[in-house]
Amino acid sequence: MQRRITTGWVAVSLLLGVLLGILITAPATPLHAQQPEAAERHHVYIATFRGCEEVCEAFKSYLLDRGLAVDFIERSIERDTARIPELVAEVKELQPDLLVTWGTAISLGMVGPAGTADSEAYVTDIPAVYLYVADPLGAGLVNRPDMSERPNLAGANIQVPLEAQLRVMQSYQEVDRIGVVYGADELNSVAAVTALRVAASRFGIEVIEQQLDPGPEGPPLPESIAPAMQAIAEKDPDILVTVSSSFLIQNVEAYTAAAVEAGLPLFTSAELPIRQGDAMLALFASLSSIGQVAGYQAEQILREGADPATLPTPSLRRFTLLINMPVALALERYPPMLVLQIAELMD
Amino acid sequence: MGQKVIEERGLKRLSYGLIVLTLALLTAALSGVAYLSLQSFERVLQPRLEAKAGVVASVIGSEIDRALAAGIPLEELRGFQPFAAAILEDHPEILKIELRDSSGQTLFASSEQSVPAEASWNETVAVGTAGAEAGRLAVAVAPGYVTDRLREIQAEILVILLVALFLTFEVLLVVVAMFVTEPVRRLSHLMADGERGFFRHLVPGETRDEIGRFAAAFNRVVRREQERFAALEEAFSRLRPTAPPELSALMQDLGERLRPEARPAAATEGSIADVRMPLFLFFFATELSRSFLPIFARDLYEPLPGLSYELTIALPIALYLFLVAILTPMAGALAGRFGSRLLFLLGLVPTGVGLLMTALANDIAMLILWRAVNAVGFALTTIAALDYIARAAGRSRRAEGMAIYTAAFVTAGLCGTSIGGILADRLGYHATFLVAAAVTLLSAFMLVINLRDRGTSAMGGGVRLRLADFGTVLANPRFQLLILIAAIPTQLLTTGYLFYATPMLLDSVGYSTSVIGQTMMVYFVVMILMGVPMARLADRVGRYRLFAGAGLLLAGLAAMLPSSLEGSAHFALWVALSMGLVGVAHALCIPSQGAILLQEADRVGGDRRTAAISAYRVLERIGSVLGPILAASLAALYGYAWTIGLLGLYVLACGLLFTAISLLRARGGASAVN
Repeated sequence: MQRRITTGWVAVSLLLGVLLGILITAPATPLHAQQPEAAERHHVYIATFRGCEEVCEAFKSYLLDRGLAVDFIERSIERDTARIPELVAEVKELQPDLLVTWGTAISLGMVGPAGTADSEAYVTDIPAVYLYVADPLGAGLVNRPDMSERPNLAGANIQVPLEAQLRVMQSYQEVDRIGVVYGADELNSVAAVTALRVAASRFGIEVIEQQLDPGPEGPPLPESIAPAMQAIAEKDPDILVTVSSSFLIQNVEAYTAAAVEAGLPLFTSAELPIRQGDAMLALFASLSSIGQVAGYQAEQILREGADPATLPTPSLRRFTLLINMPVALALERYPPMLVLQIAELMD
Repeated sequence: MGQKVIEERGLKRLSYGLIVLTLALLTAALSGVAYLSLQSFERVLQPRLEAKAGVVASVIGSEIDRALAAGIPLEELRGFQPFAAAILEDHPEILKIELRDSSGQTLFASSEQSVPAEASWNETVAVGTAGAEAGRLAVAVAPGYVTDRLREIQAEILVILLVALFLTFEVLLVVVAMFVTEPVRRLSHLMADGERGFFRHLVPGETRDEIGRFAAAFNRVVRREQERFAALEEAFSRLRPTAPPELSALMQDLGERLRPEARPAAATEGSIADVRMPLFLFFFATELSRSFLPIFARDLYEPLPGLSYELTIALPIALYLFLVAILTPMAGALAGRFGSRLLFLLGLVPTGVGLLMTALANDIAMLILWRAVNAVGFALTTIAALDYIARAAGRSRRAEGMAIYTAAFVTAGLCGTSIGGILADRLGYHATFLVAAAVTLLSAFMLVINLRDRGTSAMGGGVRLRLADFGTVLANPRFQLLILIAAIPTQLLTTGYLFYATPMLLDSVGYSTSVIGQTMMVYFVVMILMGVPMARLADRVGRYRLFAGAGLLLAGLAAMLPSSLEGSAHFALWVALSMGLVGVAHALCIPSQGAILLQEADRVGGDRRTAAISAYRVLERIGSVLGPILAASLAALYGYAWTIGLLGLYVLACGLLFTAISLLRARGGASAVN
């Protein structure tokens, strides 16, 4: 009897104690760091345009941080695309576990366009991951946006989704009309404008187009930029958007300066027009995140032996918002506080 | 026949005296601690709040400094209002932030809202670039904030104090019963036997305390007498052939008084107190989710084929009540087969598993399924407990046994609802169900160590419920009246308003589950305080119909309170008042309805009398099953406050009808006599 009651009391006090304990202590589960595994060493061949820069470094540290034992073989073509065949020959000889190709030119040059079968000129039997390719589908590197469908190629989508671009513009200022200047000779530009129009209509935004005058040989001349800019300024858009175009990237300084001249703010989803030109606002994938997401793809191939052809192509979710303050001040388009809070500012 | 050695009433006085003394001491100590902690809370909070307002202002200030440093002129700062308002969302004590230029003119503000004159403005943070002050941020701290927070904390401390008191009360009752009253009662029964010359039983359980030593001493006496008799009997057996018949008869008589008896005396069998703690813990576990179950169901909602939204979110409660209603009469038969202890334990299995799986439920179908499993557990466990109490109490103490059952249920309702609300607030819904599952385990543990089982069920030979019994009840106009306009409305209001619509209403206005639990607790507090006194009053006055009618009218009016006060300040307090009034109303009418039921059943008479009462109890549950479904459907059209009002209107109408018919009948009866 005595013992039974004592046990009961202990049980009740235990219950109350446990309840109190739950109320007092906040749950805190430590995240365990990945344990490096004692596995085989992987050989990864990295082909770059001008040495291992920020994207390539981020890629390498991602793999090392994930605990993979990797030996990197780094080669640079020193901005000379003629040297690509040498690298192809070396890869075929060294037979690394993975080939990493930096940028559109090297990727196309080393693994060839989609549909390339067994070939002397390209690497087709060693798994490859493309790095820092802005538009792999547009460049003809892959067959589908969600996976490469190529037996030895995988990579990641580093484009900023149009919805995110439009939302950033809207949070910066009121946007009813978007202007876009492009050349009708570039198919990727035409496709991008169409995609922009579809996305903008969902936001209730009108897209105003201005095509560059074609030059005597077809492609427009740099002199055609300023008149096109003046012409679109007369249609009074709230903001200009840069679409993918080799011509405008080649003339990025003239193009962005003409926009400021015309009193128009320019938005871009690439880094170049705001770093080298006078674009006012940019939303782009940071170099380190581009390296990391490619590293994620490489990790799956090296660690789990994933099939590059069917490996889903991931998209980035975090981007850098950059404001070119001198241009914003000159145009008197001051950023609102909520945007300032999350943006990086350029002096 | 001598007097009983110890008067049972005296024993009760002793234990209640102890309990009252302990409760008084505890109340004093807890109130002191609560008062002191509140004092220090107030002292600490005010300066902290002001410091925090300064920190918030400097956070905003640094962002403005960054904008100014980037070259944006102060008066061209865009989007200050949404920016400041977003920051203030996390700081409810700050009413408004203004950005003022160097001349003190307000340029921008976090809102258009005007600030009451008694609010204090903090203007310590300057903004500007490179030491040049361009303007200042002014922060207004809400004047009533400290008081409001204090009031909330006072309420929580009060609740914990109350719950601690009731828990202490529960534990004390059990301990006093086990250590003092029950052993003394057993001893006094055996001593009364001894006084009449019977020494056949030993007192079970010789503990090492005073009572135990007393029992051991008594047992020594009994054993000595029994040994003497054994020796005498042995001597007599040698004499037997020559002994005169008178002597044999004398020995026979002596043997009936002194021969050891292995079967325990009726009075020393298990006591009602043994079941009290496991039963309380079981009810506590099931009540923990009371304050948030409808909200939980709503949050988990996803479309189920063939079911409307309203029906789906009401189903976890409605199906539970439905299953309890139909399974309870069936579980009665099981008590006969398994015995109450085993059935109690069997019932705890689905209860514990159901609660555990509810904790892991991530969609509404799973929630409904595991609530149904819980319902099976509830039906088995409550029937087992009632069976045990009926047996342990015997015929003479049946009312006391029922009172213990009801007390366990209502006290657990009070403790479970409020503690569950606080737990859900701090830990989330899932974890609260885990706690409930753990409490179920504890209940099973207490049951295993406390409850001794013997013999078969007292209900084993009881009357089985037949379909025809429902017919008897339904065909009788007096039963019809009682069920339709008294019992069903009462049950409907309990589940529809109290258990379903209250959490949803208060949640929709933005109250935390702690506050919801405290509000619902008021009903149980009133039931505990008023239940027994009101029932006694009704018995003394003897006008059950008057009490039942008045209860319905009051409940109806009380339920109309929230809709008429919607949107007022301290809305939860008004809902709590309405809850309390419904509690008073139910204390008025539920026992009286029971008394009327017994009267009507007596008119039916015969061997089906008990079965008719059981059938009636099943039929009145229609109201409790309909409650949540009706409330959910009405709420989709009119919102929760008006839904409660409409339920109140319905109960009020039933109350008027019931009173009118009762008065007419009384007059009709009187004229018939004349």
